Amino acid sequence: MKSELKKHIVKGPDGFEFEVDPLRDYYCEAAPTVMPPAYLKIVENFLNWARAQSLWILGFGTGCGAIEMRPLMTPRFDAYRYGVQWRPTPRQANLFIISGYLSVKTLKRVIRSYEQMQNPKYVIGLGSCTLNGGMYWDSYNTIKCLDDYLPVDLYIAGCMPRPEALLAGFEDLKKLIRAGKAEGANQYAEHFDWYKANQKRVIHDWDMPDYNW
Amino acid sequence: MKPVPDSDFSLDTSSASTPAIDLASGKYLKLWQGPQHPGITGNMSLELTVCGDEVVEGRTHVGYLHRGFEKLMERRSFIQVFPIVCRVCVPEPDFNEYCYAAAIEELAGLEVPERANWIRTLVLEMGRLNSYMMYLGGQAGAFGLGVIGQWTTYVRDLMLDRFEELTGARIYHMFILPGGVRDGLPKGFAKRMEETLCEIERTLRDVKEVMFHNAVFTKRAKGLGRIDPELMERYGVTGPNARAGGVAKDVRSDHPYLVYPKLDFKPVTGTASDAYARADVRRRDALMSVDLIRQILAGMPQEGALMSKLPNVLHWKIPRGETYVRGECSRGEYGYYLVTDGSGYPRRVNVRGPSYTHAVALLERLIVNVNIADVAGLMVSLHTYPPEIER
Amino acid sequence: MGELTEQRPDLGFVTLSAEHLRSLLVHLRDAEGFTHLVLLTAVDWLEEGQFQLTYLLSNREKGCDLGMRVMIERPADALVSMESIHDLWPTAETYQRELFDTMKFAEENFKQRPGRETWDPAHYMKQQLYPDSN
Repeated sequence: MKSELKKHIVKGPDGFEFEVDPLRDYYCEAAPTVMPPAYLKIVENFLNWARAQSLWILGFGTGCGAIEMRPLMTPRFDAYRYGVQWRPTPRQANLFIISGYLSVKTLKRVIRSYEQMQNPKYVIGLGSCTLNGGMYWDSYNTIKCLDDYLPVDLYIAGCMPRPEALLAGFEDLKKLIRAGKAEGANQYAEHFDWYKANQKRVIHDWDMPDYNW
Repeated sequence: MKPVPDSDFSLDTSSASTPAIDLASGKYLKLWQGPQHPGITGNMSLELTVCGDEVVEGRTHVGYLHRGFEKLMERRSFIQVFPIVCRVCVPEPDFNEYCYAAAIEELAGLEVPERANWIRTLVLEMGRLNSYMMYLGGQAGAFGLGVIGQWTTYVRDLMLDRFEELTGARIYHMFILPGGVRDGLPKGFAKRMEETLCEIERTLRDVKEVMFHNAVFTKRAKGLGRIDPELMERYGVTGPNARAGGVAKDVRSDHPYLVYPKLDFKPVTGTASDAYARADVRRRDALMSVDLIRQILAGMPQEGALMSKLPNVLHWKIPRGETYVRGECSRGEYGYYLVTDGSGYPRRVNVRGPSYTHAVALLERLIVNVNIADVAGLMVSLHTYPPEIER
Repeated sequence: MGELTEQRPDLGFVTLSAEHLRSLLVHLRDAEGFTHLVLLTAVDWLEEGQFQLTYLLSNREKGCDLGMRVMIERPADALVSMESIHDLWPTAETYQRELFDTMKFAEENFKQRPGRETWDPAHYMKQQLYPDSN
């Protein structure tokens, strides 16, 4: 564990000294909970319809798929037409696009970013490398199946998928959300231990609490 | 800005003149920029130690994109490596294909037909234009001029259409193979390319008016990240970063390759060596690429072989040897160091990406005394691209 | 020192022993104009029990490159080490760090550099604003 994550004494600007345990004080330890649907079917349907209208993507280019994001948000393909836009911070986003392969080091950051996002949230796996490793099936540093580590709602296959494929993927995701089938975040909460065990199996320097939003 | 004392490369830690930064003193704050951060190029992160809003120390952290390319290549036969090499650098994949193919041709003693060389040069220049368009949008965006990115990404897309016509793919082309190229130009390609080039020229003219005469961009970029002339060689600065400082370092004219000796061009240079000069050099270099593509299309032979005869690629063995092949990509000198040992697999492939020196050692040096708000602009102005650092 | 093998008219390789490397590098850099360190990498000749370190230098005026091969023993169970050249070219530090991570070279030459000199902000601002009062 890194030295700055151990318990230590911090001196404030006013000269007052106090003890800090970063893992307990800086993060939250509560596990996520399953979000039940609204008590009336029609209300839930309305909420799902509303959710489907605004997909806000977290601007985190995890792999080479990020290069097709620029054409997507510029006039040629203009994903804004579909209510899709990019946000710089996880707190404002509800869709995480894993754009391509994930190295183990990035996976750790991806988990942190994903857990910081507010419910309801969705994950799209982009490219063949998130499905089965793709081109990097025998690489020592990438994860092979994204489903083991994060709950993926939709995969868009290809290397790399064209912007048109991405637009079609967004439309499909909207259909799933409207039908109430995009329940990735609830799945994650339900099988939290299983996901955590998988994540810890590949991330050897695990130095954060299990749930750190 | 106060010059940084040149004390950071002595292993002698005993000198009392270099106190370490005491984070507990409350004067400094450690700030992580990236990897999930809009002001960072690609997937990498910076560990900044700031005092007020001034950076006193910056460390580059890479490894987020490491796929172990060089190791993967050792396990694949020479022809199987091809789908992999282009993935090393996403915005400009053709340089990887060319350098690797040229290294193999040299070690295996293959001849490349003349027409294939012309088409290779065409593809490389098209890739360079793409990369510059991406850069101009990013550089303007880092200083808050979002509209430039909308324009340049649009014309880049037109160029991607030409790529699609020629190679069948938008991003990863796998077009240059050892011994030649996969295909010739389609019918009417030159005419459609001319239309695209006119559009690009028009956009570059607009960019010049809107970006380079913009008060915000001028004030923030001038004087930012100046590279001293004596640092150029020590830090291995190549490409537009060096040319912006008046060093006419260009592999295309220093070590001519492909058909560049037959083309008429002169390396573009600047003088100030700051972020503004680098952006200006890249804009003029893009205009030069437009001119070069026109020259290539005019001078290209229309008939002739595209591919020389290859041995059976499934049992292709290359005798023991080593070589280094380089080319000038949009960011600087790009090279492949290939070692073969007489078997059907490469013994070692080492990729020398220009971002490797620019984004790690040089950036850590330049980032000192820069405001936090300018860090993104400084990073983009070096035109670094993380995948080629990681390989 | 081994003899020069010419791969291309503008690219040659020379094999030499580890103790001659540094003096040759300094000579090439300061006297012969090979000022640009292109790359530093290692090749693992596993079957022959050797590591090959390649230092590639470039001379821009003459447009030629020279690669230096240093063969060092490769014990199966121990780390190997090589003299550091980070004071000749600062970029070499990154390359050496990479070799340490990928090829398991010894730590001794690849340590992190010491902390950079920084200034007390109050003192610094005082100097900036009131240079006469010191």
